[in-house]
This record gives sequence, structure tokens and C-alpha cells, in this order.
Amino acid sequence: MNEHSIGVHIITKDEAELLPQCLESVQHADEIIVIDTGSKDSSILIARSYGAHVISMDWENNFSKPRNEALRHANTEWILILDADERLLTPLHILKEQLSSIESQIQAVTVTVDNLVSRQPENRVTHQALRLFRSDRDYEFRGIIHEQIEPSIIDKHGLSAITNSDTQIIHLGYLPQYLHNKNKVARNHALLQQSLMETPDDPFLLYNMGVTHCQAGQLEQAQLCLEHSLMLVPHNQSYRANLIRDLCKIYLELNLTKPLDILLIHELNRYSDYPDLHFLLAQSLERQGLLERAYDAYQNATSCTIGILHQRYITELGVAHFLPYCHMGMIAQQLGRIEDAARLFHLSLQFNPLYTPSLKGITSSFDALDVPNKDIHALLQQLVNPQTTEDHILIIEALKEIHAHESIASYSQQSYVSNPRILFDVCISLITISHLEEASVLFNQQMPHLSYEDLIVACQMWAICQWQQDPKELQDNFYVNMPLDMCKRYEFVDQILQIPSDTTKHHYPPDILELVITLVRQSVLLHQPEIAQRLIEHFPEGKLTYASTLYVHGDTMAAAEILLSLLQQDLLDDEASIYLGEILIDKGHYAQGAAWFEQLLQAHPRNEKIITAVSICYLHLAESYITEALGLADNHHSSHLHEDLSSIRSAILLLNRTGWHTTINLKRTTTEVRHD
Amino acid sequence: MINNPHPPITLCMIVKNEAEHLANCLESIQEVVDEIIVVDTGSTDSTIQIAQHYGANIISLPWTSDFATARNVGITQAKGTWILVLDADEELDQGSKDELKLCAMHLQYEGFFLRIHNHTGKEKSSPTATVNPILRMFRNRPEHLFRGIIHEQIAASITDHRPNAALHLSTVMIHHYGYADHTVIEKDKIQRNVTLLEIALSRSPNDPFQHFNMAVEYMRLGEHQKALTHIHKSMELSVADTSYGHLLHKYEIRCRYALGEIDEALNCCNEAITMYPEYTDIFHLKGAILFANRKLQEAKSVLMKAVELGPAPTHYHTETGLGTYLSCNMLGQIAEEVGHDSEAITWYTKSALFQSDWVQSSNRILRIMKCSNQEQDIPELLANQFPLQIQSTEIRNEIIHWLALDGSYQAAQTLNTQLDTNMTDELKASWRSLISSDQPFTSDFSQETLTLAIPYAYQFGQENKAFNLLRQWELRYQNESRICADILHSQEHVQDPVLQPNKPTESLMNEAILLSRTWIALTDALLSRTEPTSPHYSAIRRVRLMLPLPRIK
Repeated sequence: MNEHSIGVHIITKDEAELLPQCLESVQHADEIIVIDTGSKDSSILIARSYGAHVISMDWENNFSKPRNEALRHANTEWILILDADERLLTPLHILKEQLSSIESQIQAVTVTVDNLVSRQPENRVTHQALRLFRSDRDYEFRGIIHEQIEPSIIDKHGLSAITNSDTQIIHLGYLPQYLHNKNKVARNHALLQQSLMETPDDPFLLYNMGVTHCQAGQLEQAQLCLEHSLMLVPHNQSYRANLIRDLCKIYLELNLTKPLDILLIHELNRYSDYPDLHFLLAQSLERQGLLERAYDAYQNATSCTIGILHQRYITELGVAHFLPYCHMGMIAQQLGRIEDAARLFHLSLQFNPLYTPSLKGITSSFDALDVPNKDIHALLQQLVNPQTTEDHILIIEALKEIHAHESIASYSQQSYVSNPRILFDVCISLITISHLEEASVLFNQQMPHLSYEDLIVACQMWAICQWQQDPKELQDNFYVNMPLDMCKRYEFVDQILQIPSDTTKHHYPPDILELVITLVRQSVLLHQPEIAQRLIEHFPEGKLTYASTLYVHGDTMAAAEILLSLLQQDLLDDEASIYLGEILIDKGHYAQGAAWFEQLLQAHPRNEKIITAVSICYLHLAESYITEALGLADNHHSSHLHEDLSSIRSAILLLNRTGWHTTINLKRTTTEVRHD
Repeated sequence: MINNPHPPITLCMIVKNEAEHLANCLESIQEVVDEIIVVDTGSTDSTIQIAQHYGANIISLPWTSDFATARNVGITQAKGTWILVLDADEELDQGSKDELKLCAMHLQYEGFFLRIHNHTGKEKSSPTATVNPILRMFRNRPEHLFRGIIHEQIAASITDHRPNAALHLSTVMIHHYGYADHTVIEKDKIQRNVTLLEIALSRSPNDPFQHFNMAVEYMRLGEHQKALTHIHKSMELSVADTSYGHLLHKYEIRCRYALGEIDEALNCCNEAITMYPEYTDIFHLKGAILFANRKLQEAKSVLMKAVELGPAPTHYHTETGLGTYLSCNMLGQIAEEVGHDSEAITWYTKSALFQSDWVQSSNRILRIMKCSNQEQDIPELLANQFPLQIQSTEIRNEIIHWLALDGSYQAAQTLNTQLDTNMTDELKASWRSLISSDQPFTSDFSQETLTLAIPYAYQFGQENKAFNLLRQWELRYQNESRICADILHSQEHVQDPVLQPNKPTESLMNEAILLSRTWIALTDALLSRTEPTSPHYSAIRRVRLMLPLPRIK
């Protein structure tokens, strides 16, 4: 047996898809042992092609059996346990070097497992696991599922024989595409159920059953299992904290903020160094509009020192730094503390310069602090240090937050606009700042390279651009790359626009009207109200869209006027009716707002947005009566009245924090909507 | 005063224009004291006549800006074995007469601390704000003289002459009225005290007691930084077991907190807790500071400690409710903030059982139960937790009325039938009458009935009727409001408070309050429709919990 030799042990069943990448990462191991429990795919062939020693055995509903079988065949000093859906990230020769300097009393080493959970690289969950240990006849795996070697090592040498390392393993199995490809979840479920028949009150099994339910999307069952497990698990169990984290994630998913708050407020005394728990509590509080307390809780998450995980906390990437800092920034923004917000977003970006919400946050904060757009653009460049097209898109997305059209328009070089996302953003900006010719040229160049979906959008923009350039007919080059049916529709609209509008009622085909309505919306987005108005002169059906789009984009006064005229013709839809009600409330006409929304409420008695809007009106009316009473009151009454007044105002504030009001895409969206 | 078994007591007072209070004071000690000496420093009202009526020996003395001198003039004339010192706005509790007489028999003591209960109002039934043990009865000896031109003290002169003098903490209760008025005394009176204390301090700059007094005056003026300086000076100068040592610490915490120095305030709390581990007030104060700074769990554990300790031992200056209902109430608020209903109800129940603040705590319980869909359990909870209170017809009817005002009509009805009260039949009829009437008019109902009936109709599917009435009522109110404004306007010319008392504004104010209450009740009825599955359910529940509680006069 070589000194410091490493053997890699894998068990497989139909792992052909992921096995190659796994074996690739350990191909310089001194030995690879693969226990196959009945693959029907090419797993065995793949394993052999990497020089693995493959042993086939029957699957006996017990993970420890194949693991221990592998141990019996081991010929190396050290053994590394891998799963087929994992990959060793630390190069094997570095690992060997580290093992060569390890003290002789150390029997086992934990490694960091990074679980990727979505395409976004920042979405990952890490935990420490014991995967590397010295070969020893007395060591054995225990447990039919989530088999563990640890107890047998501790039995023989005690806890001090285990140490931590920075060796890293990547686990791909939680990625959605792999999780559902295989029947692992169903298999685990069956195994756990079988074990639970024998020991129904085993908290570890219940915990794993909960996790399995969760993976299968059965949140209610998962909740029950985890709650049951929590009642039974001893406080010193290392997985207890993780169990609480998983349970709270489910609570949050199910909107059960109350049990979450109560559980965490107690458990955080015990696990005050577990950032994920602070973060979950913060999310729950933020959702309830308790912004100040949420801010505190996020701050607590940032004060957890990561890296020193003496307990095996499963922790999400960024949960102790860039995520909470970003949320703190957003809360500071909502509370009108813009300087703080800018500082917090900046802090967040120190830990992850590519985190989009923080980039958007810092951009809008600096904008609210009246920093010129070009300086903000320079700051973004410096923060992101863009290398790829994706990086540039991040910057443009942030600039869009503040309508920095001049800056976005500067991305008009070929190398950028060959990406359709950038092309559209650049053209929107160019048209908005009336650089119509440049936009036209870009469309003309890029049209042949666009996919059908992108072509549809490009045509809408280009048509508006051309009409604005020259009110006469669309030019021939407009139609060159267009499918025939689309050509016909544009020609139709274009021709109608050329004839003077009259008051006769026309009936146009539905596909034409659909196109017109899209064009009206685009015209508002592109800040070309003349085109929108021209369109609705000929196609009055577009009026409602025009008013609604104007409203959402901040021109509430113009919108109100059209909405009122549509109201007289009884042409409002529910959405537009809500907009009109919001305008009443924003203007402080609470009695009218109440009456208006009550009418809507009769049609939609359970609509929460409407319920909240009516409640806000009622509370403002209550407020006004108390204010009148205060004007008439003596000292004796006034302290009570002041108290009631402040309760009402807090209630209104909290209701406004539920986000009932349509978000108005103003140039500045930083401060909370206030109605006093 | 015949057959008086105890050594004689002389009551010594200094007064100036105390006609309002003096009779009550002298009445309360009539059978206890054997001699009354009143030093009058220039009354212009009937003070002297009243004093004479009770057989007082009156000494007239020009005011020399020196409280100690005036007191000493009185006590040097005293013939009794004991000197009892009271102020005119104080009164001996009638239940304490025997204890005071008993004290007088114990000549092994040099003095007795009596417990001064400072009331917020002018009635004995008004709530007690603080309780303060003060040395108020002591042996009549020539060397026992008051010191200090303000906040004159006797203790120092006793202990100077008799370092081993035995002083006893009695439970004799003295009621002191108008404490709240005292705390809002005009600024110039405080300023006068400051001037006096400055003189005192210039004479004896190292007198810790006068530094302490100066700090108290500055706190009343809201000048906490200056107060803090004197507190520290006093701490530096005073000996280890000074009687007001614990107060210095409490006030230091208050000042720090008022100055926004949260961490320092909490450090001071910890320091004070090590020195006075049984002083409840500090625990409560620490809990309140932590709560205000959203450290809920820490606040909870320190407040629980306060409740465990109970009211502070008798030799501490303490505020009523600390360690009892106020601490429990705050624990209830913390539980509510966390979202722990049952725990909140438990604490509020505890608080209510301490009696003093029954209504406030019990109303929170009823509100929480309503918002967590436990309205139907309210009658049972009341019967189990508050069987005694529920027996009182008055309280019972008040609860029923309150529940109806808060929209818990079912609970109110159940309670009403269960308890079979007469008076509320009328009330019950009133809120239901609206539903039965086809075309209701506001003129058919009293405002109180409308406040109950409109939300009732709204809650039970008669929304149109509810709005019809409410809008009629609002129109009527607007009319009245206009008329009232006219009257007020005309009153500016003919001011005659006898012919035109403040009636129109007061009734208008009440009507505005009732209208506001009605809109609040409608809000609550509406918000209760939110589905528990909504992401905003919890936020909306909190809104319902924080809506103003109905107030019954």
C-alpha cells in the first residue's frame, strides 16, 4: 500500500449521464472502485474506460452494503467517497500533498460540498461532509440511507481524530434538470418509508423524509415530517440546525411566517452563528412589512463569521454577506435613507460584483443622490470590470433602472448589438433620445440575424422609429426580412395611418387590432406619444392600452384624463379601474376613492388589492375625523386622540408596505408611496 | 386623644396657601397625633383658620427661601416624643393609623420610614405612579434638625449624632396627591428650585444629596446632559450605602437613554443590577430599553426576571406596576410583536390579574382573540381567567359593549345571553335593529347605536344599508360642524361662558370620534376577509391588531 495513496469509491446505478465528469475529476487516483447495483445503461462501460475496478452486486435497499463492499476491496491508505453526480474540484495532486503533511492521529477529514441549485452561479448551498478517511478494518458505514462512516471512526478514536479541510466537491444532483431526470426522489422515499416502518420515531429518518418530500414538491408533507423530527431530535445533534433551516424555508414558501418567527426567535439563541437562520427570519419580517426588524435580522446575518463552521451548518452562498447587505440596502431605500442604501449596496458588491439586484440598487441610489449618469456608468464599469457580453448586459440592466439613455446608447458598436438583448436596449434608448436615424441603421443591419421572436419585437420598434422619422409610408427595407403575413399586417396599419381619420366606426380584424395595441404600448415605452396618438385616432380600440401604459410609466395626469373619458363610455377594464382608483387615493380623495373601490369590490369581493385599497381609504377617513376631533378637544382627550391617530397612521404605513399599489415606473422609484 | 397609650406624636408642617388640601390632611391624622404645629410662611387664604379649627399651634414666619429653617422653627416648639412631618397635600391612609401608633411605642428606634404613595390625580383611587420610602417620623431631640435650604433632610443629622441609630422601614402608607401636577409644575418653579440648589451647592459644593436634587430638577427640565453631570458628581461624593444610591443609578440610566446613548444605558443597567440585584425597577427599565431597540428575546428574559422579583423591596424608591402589571404588559407586547398569540394572552392575563390596569390588558386579550379567529372562545376565557371581575354587572356590561364596538358581535351576544344581564338587552337590540328596518334613517338611532349598528350591518351582508346610514350621518355631521363653527364665531363677540358653555364643541368632538370609530370598525371587518394563504396575511393581521382600541368613557 502506497503511503498517502488515495482510492475513490463510487456506487452507481444508471449514472451514464454524470459519471464521466465525476471520473474525469479523479482520473489520477491510485485506485477507483465502482460498486454497480444493477445499471441498465452504459455506466459500467464508462467506469471501466476510466480504469475503475467495477464490482456488481444486487441492490438490497441499503446504501451501507455497497459502500462497505467497496471498503473490503480497498488497497489505498486514504479513501475518498464520491457520488456519481459529484466532481472533485480540488486537484488530486494538491489533495495528496495536503494528506502527506497531515498528523498521524488524524483519521478522517471533512470536505466542503458545494451544491448547485440553479443556473445562477450564486445560487448554491454549501455544507461540510466527512468524505475522506484512512482505510481501517474497523470502519464501516451505517444506515440504510444517508449512510455515515463517522460514528465508527468516533467510536474508535473520538472526535479529535476528525479535522476540517478546504477540499472542495461540487454536487450537481440538486440542479433541477438532474433532480427530475432520475427517480432518486422516489427511491429515497421508498427506502425511508421502509425504515420508518421499523422505527417511526427516528428523528434522522424523519428529517430525511422531510427533505425528500420537499424535493418532490410536497411541501405540506415535508413540513409535517420536519416538525415531527424537530420534536424528537436531541439538541446536540449536528443536523438539528439544518433541520430548522429546511423547515423555515418551507414555512416561508407556504407563507407561514408566524410559526417561523416563533421558532427562530427561540432557536437563534442557540444557533446565533448560523447566518441562514438570521437571513430567513429577516425575509419573513420583511414580507410582513416589519422593515426595521428585518434590517436588524439581516445585519445579524452579516455578523456571522463564515468559514469557521464548527457545526456542520448547511449554508447558502452569500447568506452572510452580499445577500443580506443587498436586502439592507433595499430596506434603507424604502425608508428613505439613500446614503445608507448606497453604502450597503456597495458593500454587497464587494462580495459579489455581479449581483444584479445590488447593481440596480446602487445605480438607483446614486441617481437619487443626484450623481450624474455618466459617473454612475463609470462606477458600474469599475465595479463589474466587464469581460463578457453577459457582464455588459448587467451594466445595461442597471442603467435601465435610471433611464440613463445616453449611457445605454453608447453600446451601439457592432460587438455589442450583435446580442439581441443589447440591440433592443440600445435602440430603445436611441429612439427615446430621438437618435432615430442611428436606430434605423442598427435595425437595418441586424434584422437578417434575428430569431423570429426577436424579429417581431424589432419590427415594432423599427416601425415606430420610421413613422416618427417620416410620417409617410414605411420604407421598403422595412419589409425585407419579414414573413409575408407580418408584412400584410404592417402594410394594413401603415395604409390606414396614411388616410385622414374620421369618426365612423370601423371594424378591423382581430390580428390587426392586436398589432395596433402592441404598437401603442411600444410607442409609450419608446417615448413617442405622437405615434401612439396617431394610432388611436385611427384605432380607438388602442385608447385603453394607451392610458394604462401611460399610467404605469408615470404620466398619471395624462392617463387620468383619458381614463375618465373612457369611464364615461363605459370602456374601462378592471386593471384600468384600479388605476383610476389609485389616482383618486394618491390625490387624497379618500371618500371618492372608497366609493370607487367599493364598486370594484362588489365584483371581486375577495380581491386583496381592492380590499387593501378600500381599507386605506377608510383609515384615512377615520384619520380625518380624529384630526377634526383633536381640533375640538381639550388636553384631557387629546392624548388619547393622538395615540389613536398614530396607530391609524402606522396601520396605513404597514398596509402601504404590502405593495398593493401598482409600481409606477418613474424616473425615481426610491421612496415609499406616502399619502399624507 | 384620651387614653392614648403611645408616647405622644407632634405633627409638624410648613404651609403657605394650602386651603385646598389642609383639611383632608389634618382630618386623616386627627386621632393619631397629640399636637399639631403649623409654620405658616405667609398664607393669604383660609389656611390659618383651617389649621386653628383642628387645634393647631400656629407660628407665622416670613419666608426666607430656606426650607430647613422653617421646618426647624416648628420642631423646636414640639413637645411630643415623636415628630411626624407631613405636607399639606399628603394624607395618612386610614388603614395605617394603628401601625403608626404601634411605631410610636417602639422607642428603641430613632426614626421610621413611611411609604409615600404618589398619586397621579387628586383622588385616592387615582393610580399610583411611584412609591417612595422617606424618613418622616423621628425622635424629638434638640440635635435632630433639618438641613438644606431645599430638599431639607433629617436623616443626616440623626446619623451624625447617633451613627448606630436604628431606623425602621414601616409599611405606613401616606397618600400624596397631585404628583402629576408636580411633575408638570411650571418651569419657573423648577427654575426657582435650581436657583436655591445653586446657592446650597455654593455653600457646600461637595454635598452629594444636593447634587442628586439638582439632577432631579434638570431631568424635569429635560436637560439630561446637565442632570448626568450632577448624578456623577453625587455618585462620586456619596458613601457606599446612601439611601438614594439606587435612585442615582436609575436616573443615570434614564438620562443616558434620553440622550440616545443606548449602549451606555444598558451598561449602566448591568452595573446597577450587580449592585442592587433585587431592585426590580432596573430590570424593567433594561427590558424597556431592549424592547424599544427591538432586542425582543433579551428584553423578554430581563422582564421575566422583573416579574420573578415582584415589586421592589420597601426601602427602594419604586414605580407602581414594575415587576407586576407593567412588566407583564410589556411581555405581552413583546409576544405580540413576535407573533406568539397564546403567550401574549398569558402575559396580558397575568397583567390584568394584578388589577391595576385591568381594562387595558384585558382589551388586548380580546383584540388578539378576535384577530386570530378565536372570537368564539372569548366568553369561556373570561369565565375561566376572570371569574371575579365578570361577576360585577358594571364590568360585564362594559366588556359586552367593548366587544361589540370592536366588531366581536358574536362574543358579545354569547356573553350577554350567558350572563343574562338586563341593561344590555337594549344594547343588543340597538345593533340588530338596523338589519330589520327597511329604510333606516340616522334620525331613528342615537350616535352610539349607529357606531355599533353600521359595522354590524356591514359585517353581516347589509353593506348598502350600512353605507346609506353612514353617508346620511356624515352629511348631518358636516351640517352640525358648520353650525358649530358659526356659533363659535359669534361667541367671539359675545363671550358668556354661563349662557354658552362648551357644549356644542364637545358633542361635535364626540360625534367625530364615533365616526372615526365606525370607519375603523369597517376597516377591520373588511380586512378580516384576507385569506390565510395570502402572502400579506401576516402583515394584515398586524394591521388589525394595531388599529386603535375602542374606548369607553
